Parts: sequence; C-alpha cells; structure tokens
Amino acid sequence: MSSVVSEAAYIMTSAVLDLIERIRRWRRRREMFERVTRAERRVRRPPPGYFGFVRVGDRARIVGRATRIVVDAPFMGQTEYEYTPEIHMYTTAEEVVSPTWFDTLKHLYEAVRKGASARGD
Amino acid sequence: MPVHVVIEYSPACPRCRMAERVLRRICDELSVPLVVRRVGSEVPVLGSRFTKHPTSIHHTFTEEFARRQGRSDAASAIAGLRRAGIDPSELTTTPVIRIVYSGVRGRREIIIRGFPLSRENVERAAANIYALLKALTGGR
Repeated sequence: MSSVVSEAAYIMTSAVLDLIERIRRWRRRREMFERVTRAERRVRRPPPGYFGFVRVGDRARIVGRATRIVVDAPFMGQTEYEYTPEIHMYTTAEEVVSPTWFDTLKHLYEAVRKGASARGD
Repeated sequence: MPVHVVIEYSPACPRCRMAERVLRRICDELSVPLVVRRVGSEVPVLGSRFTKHPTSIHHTFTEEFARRQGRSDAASAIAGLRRAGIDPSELTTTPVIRIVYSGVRGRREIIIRGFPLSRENVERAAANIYALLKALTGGR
C-alpha cells in the first residue's frame, strides 16, 4: 500500500515539476522568437512587388522583374551619380560629303567637350 | 553602344526621299533602328517650305545660336534676313538626320542638316554615314 502511495506521490510531483519546466521552456522559446522577429523588422526590406536594386541591411539585392530571381551581393558602396547633359553636334550635308568628315566630327566633339568642361558639367 | 537614327522628312522633298532611301538601306544592313518622323506639308499650293513645322534644328537659325557658336557672319546673315521680313527659324528645313547614341558619358546626337542629290555626293555621304554607324554599333 505504502509503495503505491509513494509511487503516486512521485508521479504527481514529477508531473508538476515537468509542467513547470515545460512552461519555463515555452517562455524562453517565445522570448527568443520575439527577439528574432524584432531584429527582422529592423532590417529594411523591399515591399512586395518591388523589382530592381534595393539595399537590404549590408547586402545589395537585385530582384528580377519577370523572373523574381533574387540575387544578393555584398554592398560595396554607392557610386557617385554624375549628371551629363545631352550633347548635340550639328553638321551639314556638305560636311558629310567631304572626305574629312571624321576629322570634322573629331573637332566638333573636342569643341563640345571643351565647352562642357568650361561650364563645369 | 545603343544607336538609333531618326530622319525628319517632308513628303514634297526630293532630298528627303533620297536620304530616306539611303538610310533605310544602311540601317537594314547594320540592324540599326530607323525612326521616320514626318514634318512639313503635302499641300503643293502653300508649299511646305513656308509653313511652320519645327524640326530638331530650327533653333540653329537664330542669331543667338550663331553667336554662341562663334559664327558672326551667320549671325549677321540671319539678322539681314530678319530685317527683310524672313525669319529662317520659322521655315521648315528638311531633311534632318539625327544619329542618337549613348555612351558611358551620356547621350549624344549627331545632327546632319540636308542631304545631297547628285549621284557622286550621295555615294560619298552614304559611305561616310555607313562607316560612322558601323563604328558606333561596334563594327558588328
């Protein structure tokens, strides 16, 4: 009889202790998941449907427009954007006919480049 | 290098017809896109020359543009025409051939005003334009 009681007391105690341990483990897991979710939320992500180049954390991500293929590469820095105006070179039919047509084009290009550098473009 | 050619032509103009024919042949051979933009009028009574149809080069017939290019003789000629009551920038000048290409330093245009009619000159012009387009497309 006494062995049955002691056995029952052992099972009950161990069940209660197991339950407490399991609850503590659930709490720990929930904290961990919350931490991960918070860290993921902090990282900038492209909105759904976005394609092209986007910076995700320290990675450069390129999302394909039609294929949705995602390519990640380490972000090495942004190249400086440089504005270059449209260049128009005007010639006439006489210049096109002449045998020095390519020299004319060269002179035109040099003149345009000098003008652009003088303007500070 | 991406290249395309635009021709601005007037229907009642033999030079435009010749330029279009030559450019079609060259562009077909080199697989360069050719855009044909129609300017000018077909009405023979009015005459397409004296109707205002702006092209890509109408602003080059102004005194300001000529002075900026350092062409004082052209500026004085334009001023003389204006005094006589003719504004050359108001006239339709065709054909205009625009060779548009984009390189690493931005977009550029070579604009050719006019086209020859005599057979020798047409052949020379075609050879020059062909060589230029072939160089721009990378000699494909």
